[in-house]
Amino acid sequence: MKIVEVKVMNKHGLHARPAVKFVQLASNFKSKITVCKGGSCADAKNILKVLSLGVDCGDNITLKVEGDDEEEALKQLTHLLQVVLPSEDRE
Amino acid sequence: MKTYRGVPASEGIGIGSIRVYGYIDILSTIPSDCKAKDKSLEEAKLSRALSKYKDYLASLKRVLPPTDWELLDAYELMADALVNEAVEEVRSRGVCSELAIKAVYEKYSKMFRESGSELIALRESDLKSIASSLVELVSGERAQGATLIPGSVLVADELYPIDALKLARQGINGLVTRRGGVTSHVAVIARNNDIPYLIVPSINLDEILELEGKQAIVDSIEGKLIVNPSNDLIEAYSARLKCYKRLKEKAKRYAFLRATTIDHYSVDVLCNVGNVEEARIASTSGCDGIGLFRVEFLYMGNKPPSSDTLLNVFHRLAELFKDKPVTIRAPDLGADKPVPYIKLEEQNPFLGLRGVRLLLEYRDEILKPFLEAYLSVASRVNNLRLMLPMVSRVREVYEVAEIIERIGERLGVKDPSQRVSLGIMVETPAASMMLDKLAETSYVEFVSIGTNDLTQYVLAVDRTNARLSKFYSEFDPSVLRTIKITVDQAKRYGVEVEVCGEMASKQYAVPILVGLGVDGLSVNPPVVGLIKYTISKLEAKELKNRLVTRLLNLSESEEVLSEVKKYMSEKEIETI
Repeated sequence: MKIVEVKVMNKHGLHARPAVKFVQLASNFKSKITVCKGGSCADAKNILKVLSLGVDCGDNITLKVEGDDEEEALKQLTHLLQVVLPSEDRE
Repeated sequence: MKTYRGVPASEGIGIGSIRVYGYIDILSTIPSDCKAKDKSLEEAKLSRALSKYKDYLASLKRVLPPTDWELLDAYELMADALVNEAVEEVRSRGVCSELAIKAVYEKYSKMFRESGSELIALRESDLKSIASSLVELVSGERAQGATLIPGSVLVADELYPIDALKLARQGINGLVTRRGGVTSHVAVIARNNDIPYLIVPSINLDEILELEGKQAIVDSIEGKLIVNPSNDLIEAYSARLKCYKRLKEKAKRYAFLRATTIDHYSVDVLCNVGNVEEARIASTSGCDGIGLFRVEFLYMGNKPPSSDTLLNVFHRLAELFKDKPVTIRAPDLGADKPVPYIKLEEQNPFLGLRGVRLLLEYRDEILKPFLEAYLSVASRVNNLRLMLPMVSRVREVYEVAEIIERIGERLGVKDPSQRVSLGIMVETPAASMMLDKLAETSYVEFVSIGTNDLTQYVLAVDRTNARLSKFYSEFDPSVLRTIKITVDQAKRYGVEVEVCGEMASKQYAVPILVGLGVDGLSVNPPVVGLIKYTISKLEAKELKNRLVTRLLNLSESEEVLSEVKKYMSEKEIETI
């Protein structure tokens, strides 16, 4: 299992469009992926649970990934959170 | 009996019993003690409902512009999550599938509301729409048609596109909403499915709810909704509906023939379309090509489309129609089609920065990327044509031609501005008056008369102002005279003339436009057959010498219309 902490940098956090992109990307992997904020955790492939976490810009979240493709999954998800989503704010 | 006035959004006549849709909250009708008799059966129902729901989303994707796909993706994810958890509910608490969906919906809608975040674009109402659709799909299995009697006239406050598609598939005779637009997604779906659709802003849904089950007539030709009509009226309308259907059948036989008048004068009947899916439908309608492809749908997002998107769309269009022409109009932004990334604060947008004026003002951001994509596709196929919107000065043509020349050189296209088949829209009186000079530029191969804007500018009547609608008519003699000047000048210079406004789709306009000598009519796909049928019953020479000369000497649009009607009935041409 891989665990990593990420600071959410994009304007809209994990709401609306960014949440959809996050869940879509997570769903591409076989690994079990969990996203946690504070004490609560959610299945990263479930949009309703991810939305209910209420992740805002500036929040620290923890990604836990477990499975065959855990490394690739973690790489792509952190790239999405740290590079892709913040760059879309600027467009 | 009560009659409401409305705006036809999809033409036709529908008679049926009234059903009010979406007014009663389907979620509130689920009994709170609804138990699962057989858990695995309930689970199977949920998964079937989910896959049907996804089918709807996939069909919607084919109809709606790519800018709306993100929302549909979000819907799909939400439906997935909702059903997954509903299955858990069924397993653990033994409730029926409807109640399971409702429980999951309530849990998250509360969370959505309490999170207080204004950033959630996926509002609680979206979740409710998804939950309601899923419940309907599940219950549909339990009691076929309990929610809807096929053949009814459906009345709603407003419809989600997904509901419209669902209803269209279940078979309704007519659709009425209080809110909505003639160009909305719902209108497109109604037209594609041949469902008469009328928008009636003055309707009172409480009143209608009491009349549920009673008869109603949707007359989406004249723009009337008649509730609780007399038996005589139902009979009269049934007869009209029969005639209408017969004429439509007859028109179908003409759709795939060349439209030629009795005296062998050929007229191209082209189509107006607003996205690739509509173009695909049009390609099976019998039309002789696309006379107007509106690219604006690609520009309605937060930024102009990428060059890949443009290339992809142009390629698909060229392929769809092979050797038939496809006329792509450069984006006509501004006025009634504002875009978020260009801020225009104008007192009078219809006389403001719009059409080719805006394109030249924002040439680096919009015009050049558009032309680059257009040229790189057009230079490799032979059926694309380019059209400029809202031309009002001769120099606009020179300026665009120069840009085409430069981009073409860079792309390695020989003689780009000569090789590009370039046309202009005639929508301003200026373009009509200066057509000789525009033709002398040698760049203009064809013109297309946009009668919607031309009428508003000739008459100085704002076409979006409901109080002025009685003054707005394409049949006004002043408009006809302007069209005549345009056609005559174009003919002198060997420039082809088409008409692509709403007027071209009106049956009574056909004798006038053919009589004035236009080469092509670009119409809405459903009326291709009807317009071709009408053309084939006319005699061009007689129209020109008799009818048109007389019409141009009248004073009022009503007189023009009644003359044309009389003429057509003398010629025994069936009309809708």
